[in-house]
Amino acid sequence: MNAIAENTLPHQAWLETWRERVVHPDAPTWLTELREFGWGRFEMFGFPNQRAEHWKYTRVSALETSVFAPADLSIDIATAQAQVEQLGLAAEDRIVLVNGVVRDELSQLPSVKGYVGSFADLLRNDPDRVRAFLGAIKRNHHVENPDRNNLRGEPFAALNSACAIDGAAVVLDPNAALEAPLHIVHMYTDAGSMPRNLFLLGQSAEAKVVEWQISLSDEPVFANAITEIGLGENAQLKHERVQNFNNQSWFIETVCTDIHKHARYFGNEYALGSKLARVDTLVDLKAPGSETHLNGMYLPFGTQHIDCHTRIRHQAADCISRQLYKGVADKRGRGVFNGRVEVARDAQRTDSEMQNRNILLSKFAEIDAKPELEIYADDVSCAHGSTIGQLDQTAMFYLRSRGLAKEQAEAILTWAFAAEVVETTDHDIVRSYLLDALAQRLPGGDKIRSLDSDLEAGE
Amino acid sequence: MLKIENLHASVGDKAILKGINLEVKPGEVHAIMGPNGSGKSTLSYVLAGRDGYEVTDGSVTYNGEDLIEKDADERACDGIYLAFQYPVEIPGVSNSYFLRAAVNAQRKHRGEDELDAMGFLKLAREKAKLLELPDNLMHRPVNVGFSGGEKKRNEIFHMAVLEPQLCLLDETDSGLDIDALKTVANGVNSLRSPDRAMIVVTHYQRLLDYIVPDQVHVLSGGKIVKSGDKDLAKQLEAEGYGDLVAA
Ligand SMILES: Nc1ncnc2c1ncn2[C@@H]1O[C@H](COP(=O)(O)OP(=O)(O)O)[C@@H](O)[C@H]1O
Ligand SMILES: [Mg+2]
Repeated sequence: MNAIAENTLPHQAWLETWRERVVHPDAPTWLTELREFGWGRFEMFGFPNQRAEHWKYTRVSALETSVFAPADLSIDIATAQAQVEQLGLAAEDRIVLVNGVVRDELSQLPSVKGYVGSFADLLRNDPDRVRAFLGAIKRNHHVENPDRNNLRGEPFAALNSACAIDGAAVVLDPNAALEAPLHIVHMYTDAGSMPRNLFLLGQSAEAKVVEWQISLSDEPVFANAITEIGLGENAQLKHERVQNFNNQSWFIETVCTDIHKHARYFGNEYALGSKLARVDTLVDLKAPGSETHLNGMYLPFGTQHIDCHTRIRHQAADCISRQLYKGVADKRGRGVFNGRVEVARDAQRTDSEMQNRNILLSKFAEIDAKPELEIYADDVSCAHGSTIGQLDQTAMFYLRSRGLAKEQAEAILTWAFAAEVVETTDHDIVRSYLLDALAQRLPGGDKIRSLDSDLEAGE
Repeated sequence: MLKIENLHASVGDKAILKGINLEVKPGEVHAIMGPNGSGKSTLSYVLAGRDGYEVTDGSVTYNGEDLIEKDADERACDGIYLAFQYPVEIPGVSNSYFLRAAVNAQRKHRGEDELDAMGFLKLAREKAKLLELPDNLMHRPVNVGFSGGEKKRNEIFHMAVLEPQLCLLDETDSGLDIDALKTVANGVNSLRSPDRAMIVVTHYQRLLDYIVPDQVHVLSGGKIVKSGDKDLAKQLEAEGYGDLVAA
């Protein structure tokens, strides 16, 4: 069997240190079993290789020869605190995690009917509440008949299930609402971390959550995160994710969302950083009237590699899905967008739209775009479009006909292209952080940003 | 100011303009009328310098200089302005930012100092009032979510701020109700001056009741098939393009 051959690979050594860490004599049996199941599956899969369809463009084999033992948890709190302040979050409700573990001294938890805080605490105090939902590895994921060539994030989800010890948990009772946005700030010093988040919203509950994934140093990090989300009837979650690791780091994330009757999931993803990032956003529209809107922006610059995979499954009638993903690549940056929409036989009157647009700023940059539709119902409206290319020529002419030189017009249109996704955020803090990032990266962006705030100030 | 002689132009392999002659002097307003597809927008684009619109024969001289070799932005800086038939939406870039960048690009070209935020806003507000432009349109992303009428008014607003010498208005009246049409026409009329010329492209005579032209030309099949004074527009309104187009 393959798995045995791979046991001899060097990655086993650092993985063993993970295994030792999570052994816990008091853990409930089901949890130990889940961890063992995760280990077993991960050993069987190994890290995915490029023969797997969904890893065709994204090579993670270097992880086999890298060493990412569990990160040290005794960290410098002052540095972390400074980062929280620099992000402008010092006065905001927040769960702050360093190397995947919640730090109470840095967090400010809202009071709400339900539970907001450390996933580990929730697991300790109320394991039965959690048990039913820890399914990321078990559901959908080729568990019965694993097909190594059809893997998405399963190997990493399995590894996370085996290794995770903490993460952020947001559990809202029916009709409960977070009054202010909740920021979940993941910061990393070095080495490996495997945070696990759980968001469960009861019937008609509402929340806005912003997740930050940020490096605290220039050291390389391997972060392998899972977020599991369940939205009860008529619940609403607005979930924004900002990823800005340093350019040495690996970031792998799986976000699984189950949406029940008339519930709504808004997911915004902004991928700025990392050496290699791979995110799988998986949304299941499980009951009639449920709805999801996903917006994404990925900016692979330099030698970065950023891979965004989405999969939306329409499993019931009268559901709505919208996707807008935009990529800008420069230098030797490499981007991947793979968006998949599946419409089940019973999912009549599905209303789905997927738009993917990309711009290459250098002839060495590359973006691979692959929208996929699989439709088994007959009464559906499914639109999708994908473009890779140059700036819109009519818009170029419009700007130049007002007197702007070619380079300036290009800079403005590139800015406009990326800013369209930024403008979908609900949060000024996020908006301003992202525009600052655009200002740093896009040609002429600093000028556009400063003049724009100039004019706002002139009011 | 502008002299067009035997102008032939094509897009890709398609010949669209087939020998246009037209002379426009400072202070004049020329109307160009004609049925859909006759080449009115193409003529505007060729004059404004859109890439891909190739002049295959003839010449265009502007203030004594050959216009054809110049890029669109250079022409703009030299005082040519095109109000678009279909203004373009630019998300994420505020109208005021865009317009200020344009004003300053042109000022720089002329060797003048750039306007700072305060100076620009003062100028812009003055002109916005002229066109009864809602204040928030200045700060919204360019044309995004504007109504049809707001987009057209915004084009004239840009024109008022940029103060060009030669104004090309491509179907600025289409999609406007009568009140909006009057506002836009007032704005345009307030910009008429002895050293500024205008070419007003329109499908309908209606606009010309408010912006009264010195000359009217009928474009058909890429050629000017008839020219006359403002009464020609009235005649066309009454009789249609039928005979002229068949000719
Ligand atoms: N980009 C283009 N490629 C090919 N043909 C074009 C293009 N633009 C316009 N045309 C053709 O040229 C002719 C004139 O178009 P246009 O100048 O838009 O006319 P008008 O503005 O008078 O309605 C039409 O037959 C139109 O189909
Ligand atoms: Mg036209």
